[in-house]
Formats: sequence, structure tokens, C-alpha cells
Amino acid sequence: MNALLLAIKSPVQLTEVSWQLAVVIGTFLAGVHAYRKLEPYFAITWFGSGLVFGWFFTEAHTRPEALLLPALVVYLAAAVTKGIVERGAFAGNHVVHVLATGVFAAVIALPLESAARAMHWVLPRDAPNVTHAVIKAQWLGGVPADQLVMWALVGTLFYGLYKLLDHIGLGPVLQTVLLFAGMPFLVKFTDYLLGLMH
Amino acid sequence: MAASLPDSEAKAHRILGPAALRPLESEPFGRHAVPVLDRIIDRLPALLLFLALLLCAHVALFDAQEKGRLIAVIPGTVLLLLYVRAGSGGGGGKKSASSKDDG
Repeated sequence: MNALLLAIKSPVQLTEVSWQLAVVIGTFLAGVHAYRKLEPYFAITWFGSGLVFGWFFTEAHTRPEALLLPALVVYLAAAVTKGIVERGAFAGNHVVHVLATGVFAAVIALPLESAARAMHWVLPRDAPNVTHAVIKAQWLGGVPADQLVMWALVGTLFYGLYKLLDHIGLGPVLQTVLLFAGMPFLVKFTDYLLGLMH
Repeated sequence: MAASLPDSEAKAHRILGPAALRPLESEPFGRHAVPVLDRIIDRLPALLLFLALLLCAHVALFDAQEKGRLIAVIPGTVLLLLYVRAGSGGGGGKKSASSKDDG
């Protein structure tokens, strides 16, 4: 279909800049939610450490969408987990929270990955082949299952580290320093686990 | 007090009383806008998830013309419905007992 017909059929054309803007504004709004509904301190540490994580996670350092997407996806997953799990039988169970956040991170990343892949927009990174194409990409809307495994791992590890540091009785300063300093190692650990599955 | 004001303000003061001198951006804005904003902020995770699904659907239907990509929307839609049904999509309290440490 030529460009003119496409323009008539779809009056809103989403370009790469739209994707960039969507991720940046989405992250800002998620930050507003964290600031207002939880704590300013939480918002700063989550999105600050998420930015550090994003820096080491992606090689597209000049692209804000690649840097911010992990923090945004995992934040949304954690917020949704809290909403769903907090009211059920698993309320207060930190292990279930962390694992559910991992699963939900993959579910939330799926439509974003699918849209970005269709439009050749920038994503943080491609996952190594860990599922050996057992699940076809077409079954998941054009997203390789490896990507979902990677997002699930990122969600679990990122939120897991945050929870761990929050609950082992460290002071806020040490907790913050360790959280930020742990991000490069968290990326390495993610790579290590993906390598084990490969 | 009204005597020292310009004509229009003095007239407003005579009709409305001291309320006429209250700055526009003070209490009325604060009283009504903050709860509304709070409710919107409460729903931001659900709203952002909905926008992510909408983005994918738009790309699948219009931009990329690959309707098969709509499959990617299904798990997210189920998750969104679960979240809204759990009551968190709409206004839970500002801080529950364990909300401090959670995302």
C-alpha cells in the first residue's frame, strides 16, 4: 500500500519520534505516580537506578527510549503486581511479588516490543536464543519468546534487588549506594543467566 | 478598604464582599483540582498500560498493516482487566500499610 493510501487510512502516523516521546512521557508519568502515591525518595531511587540499569543494559546510549524502557516496564509491572497480588491470598508475600513482577514485565513488554519491531523503532537490546524457537514469534505477535524471557528476568532481578536491599535492614544511604552501584552487576548477572539458558 | 481600590474592584467588593478580593489561583483551585489530579495519578499505571496496548493495536492495524500483531495485545488486556477488577485501577487509598516499599 502506498504512502498516500496509508495516510488516508490512518490519519495518525506514528514515527520513531512518537515512540521516543511516548517512552519519555510514560516514564515521567510513572515517576509522578511513584512520587505522589509512594514516596519522593522511592521515585528518585527507582528511576535513578533504572536509568543506570538502562545505561548498562543497552548499547544505544544516545537513545532515551532504550535507556528508559526497562525502568518504565518494570515499574508498571511492579505497580500492577501490587494492585493484583496485594488484595489476594499472597498479600505481603515478597517472593510472590517479585516473581509476579517478572511475569508481568514480560506481559507489559510484549505489546511494546511488537509495535517497536513492526516499525523498526529502537529497543534496549535483542535477547540471545534461549528458547531455541520452540515458540514461534508469530504466536506472540511477532516477538521472539527469547525477548519475553529476558524481560521476565529483568523484572524479577531488578525488583528482587530493590526488595532485598529494602528488607535486610540497611540504612537509607547505604541502601541507595548499593542499589545504584549494584546496577552494572545486575546487568552482568542477567547476561550470565541468559548465557546459562543459551 | 474598598475605597482605596480601583473602580471595577470596588464595585466587585460592594457586590461580592471580601470574596471578590481573593486571588483567583488560591483556594478554589486547590480544593477541586488536587483530588481530581490525585484520582488521575491513582489510575496512571492502568492508563499507561492501556496506552501501550493502544499503541500496539494502532501499529498493527494502521501503520504496519500486520493484523497478526494484535495477538501481542491479548495478554496485556487480560492483565489490565485483572488490575482494574482488583480495584487498583481506580482510587485505592493513598498509602496502604505496606505500600512504602512497593513499586
